Amino acid sequence: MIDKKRLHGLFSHHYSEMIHLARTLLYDDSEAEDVVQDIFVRLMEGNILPTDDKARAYLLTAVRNSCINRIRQKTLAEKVRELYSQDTASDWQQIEQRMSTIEAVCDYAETHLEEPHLTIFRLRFQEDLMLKDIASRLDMNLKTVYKYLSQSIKSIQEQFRL
Amino acid sequence: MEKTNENMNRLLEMLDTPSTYTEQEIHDIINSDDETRQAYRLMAAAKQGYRQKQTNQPEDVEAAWQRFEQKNYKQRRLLPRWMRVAAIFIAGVFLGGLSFAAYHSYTLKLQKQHTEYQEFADERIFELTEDGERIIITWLKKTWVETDNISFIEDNPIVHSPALQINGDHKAHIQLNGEYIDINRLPKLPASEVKKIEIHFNQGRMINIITTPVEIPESMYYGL
Repeated sequence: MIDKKRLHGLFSHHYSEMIHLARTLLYDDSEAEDVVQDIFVRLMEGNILPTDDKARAYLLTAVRNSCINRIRQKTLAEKVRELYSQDTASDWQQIEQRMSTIEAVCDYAETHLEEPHLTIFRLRFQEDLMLKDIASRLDMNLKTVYKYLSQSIKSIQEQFRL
Repeated sequence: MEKTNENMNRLLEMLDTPSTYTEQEIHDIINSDDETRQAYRLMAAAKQGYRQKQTNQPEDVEAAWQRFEQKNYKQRRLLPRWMRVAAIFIAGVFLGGLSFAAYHSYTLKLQKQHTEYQEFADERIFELTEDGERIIITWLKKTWVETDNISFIEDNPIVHSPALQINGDHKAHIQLNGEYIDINRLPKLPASEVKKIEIHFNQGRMINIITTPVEIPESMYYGL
């Protein structure tokens, strides 16, 4: 079993980044914590101690793969309801690239969409509301909500090919 | 253009209530056309992006370590010397008695593993659907799966691919150990023969099933 002090060192150094990635991918804080804890348990039980220069990439790739495994075990309806990504980047460079792309998508939406497009976009993807609830909250016709959201998606699509 | 709008509306509608659709319907809606597929990816990216911004707060790492420690390290309590001696003696008596039972338990475990393998072995790699136009590929736990972007060891006890079309627009090409195979003459191999499965949609929807021994990279052990 790995020396507890060394495991603590690894944990202190990488936990923040690992938990952020797991939360970003799984949208569920408690499931994200399980993923990160499981990885440290496996390190402990498997007596694996990644070398310092590779530890970050190793641990973040492990988070990514564990999250993908969890997502794969959900039904298709669950996956699409939660809008889980079907992207499956494997090495850490690809994952970092993906993370910067998704941030860029949001930044683009925040800076380029006008009202009421931006509010609808945020309510759908930030607050996770159903379209009928958005229509009701904004006192808007459901078809109009569809129209504005479609327009937003198309305008972002012109900038990003994912 | 009108068709694209219609597909987008169907996608938005389905995403609100996916459980009222069958898996095939969901799959068909997302893949109605390239624009709709892209739209789904973009929506997933938008949600992840917002999530990423929300979660980007400083963490209390020490509190997280305490939770981990509490859960995974049992506190060791120091016993007085006489209790430790007594414990060793009792353990010795127990171990003697247990060794006989352990032998039988081990034999039973081996039998159980064998049964489990037999059940798996009945699954065939290839299954042609009734209409003869789609194929399902089966693989088992611990199979090495490599797709365009990810490589992992399968966690689930048994996994079926989504039905892959063998005719029409999304035709899949099936290889066995790197050689294209005639889908009308699929070999009757058990799924336990699969050592690795390569799924490459970037290469014309090609599935390569490898049954020859492969060396799994060390980084993928323990499901990492």
